[in-house]
Amino acid sequence: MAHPNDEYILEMFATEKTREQAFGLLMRKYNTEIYNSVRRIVFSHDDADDIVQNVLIKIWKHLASFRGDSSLKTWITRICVNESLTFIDKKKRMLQLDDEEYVERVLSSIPDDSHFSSDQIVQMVQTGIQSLPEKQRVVFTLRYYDEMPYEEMSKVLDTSVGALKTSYHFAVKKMEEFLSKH
Amino acid sequence: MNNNPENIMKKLESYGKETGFTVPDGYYDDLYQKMMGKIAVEKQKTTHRKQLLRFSLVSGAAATVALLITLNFILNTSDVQPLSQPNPLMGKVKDSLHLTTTSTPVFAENSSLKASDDVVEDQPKTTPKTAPVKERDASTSKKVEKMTDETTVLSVMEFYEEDARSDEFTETLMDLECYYDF
Repeated sequence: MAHPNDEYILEMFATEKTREQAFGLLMRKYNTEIYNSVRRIVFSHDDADDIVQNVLIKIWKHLASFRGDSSLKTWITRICVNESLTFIDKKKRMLQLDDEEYVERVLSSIPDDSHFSSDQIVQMVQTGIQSLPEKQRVVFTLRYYDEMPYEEMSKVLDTSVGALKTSYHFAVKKMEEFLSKH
Repeated sequence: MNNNPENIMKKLESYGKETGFTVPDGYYDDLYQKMMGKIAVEKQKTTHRKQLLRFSLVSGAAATVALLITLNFILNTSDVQPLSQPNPLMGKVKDSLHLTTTSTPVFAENSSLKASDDVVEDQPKTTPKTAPVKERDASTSKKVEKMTDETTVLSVMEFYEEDARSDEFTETLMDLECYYDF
């Protein structure tokens, strides 16, 4: 099924009568992308489900004030990243875990996750990604899976292109070390 | 070079870009339904908030207007109150002004200045100004006495007008050394 373009969705959303219909179209178009970009950061399906709902509520609340400085996809990705990182921080505080303890907790859940592939190679790559520090994980997943240009990533993460390239370089090095060990 | 990010990426890509994430059956449809329900609630909340905001603004404006009217009323009432009560000092000043202006214009000029000073200055200062008033009273009483004598004579003359034409009356008047040539 072909999805309507972003301009059409935004025009519909601007009208009070067709707002809900426009949001429905937006959900149908971006649901999978939103879910995947969130889940790549938090890994757990249950956590991702909570975050996706928060992201969609935020989109509903703030789409009317979307200025169009970037593409709608970039704007949505930015919300996904921010909501995911905020969620992780909150969860760490709630469970009283530091960064290492939290990563250990996530890694230990990977083999038994019912909503994750049992393929060993896929599990190994995902374990490597989840071992990365949060910011590097975000940069790596946006670059590797979404093939997002650095300029666009700069808008999403509000970071300079140079800093993003450095971050990605370190992430790749860590992934190489991890993969060479396993 | 093994450390070259491009070589590492080729190695990673050999594992494939498969994330391995899966979702429960009908997850996106359920999410759509769930979000539409949440949006309806959000819409109600927004409408309620707008109504509350509008009510707050209107009631706030009404309260401000009422407060201003009350303050205005209180201030006006406190301004009028001293005027409504007769000021004894003002009465004295008016009396002195009336007497001086009717009798001696020169004195009236001076006393009017002094009388206005009396309004501001303390009461003891008005004491010296009572002396001219007493003098005026004495002269006035003399005038009244003189006028009373003349009126009595005239009324007697009117009473005896007919008789005065007679010789007997003329003789009587001559006896009294009070002869009037009619």
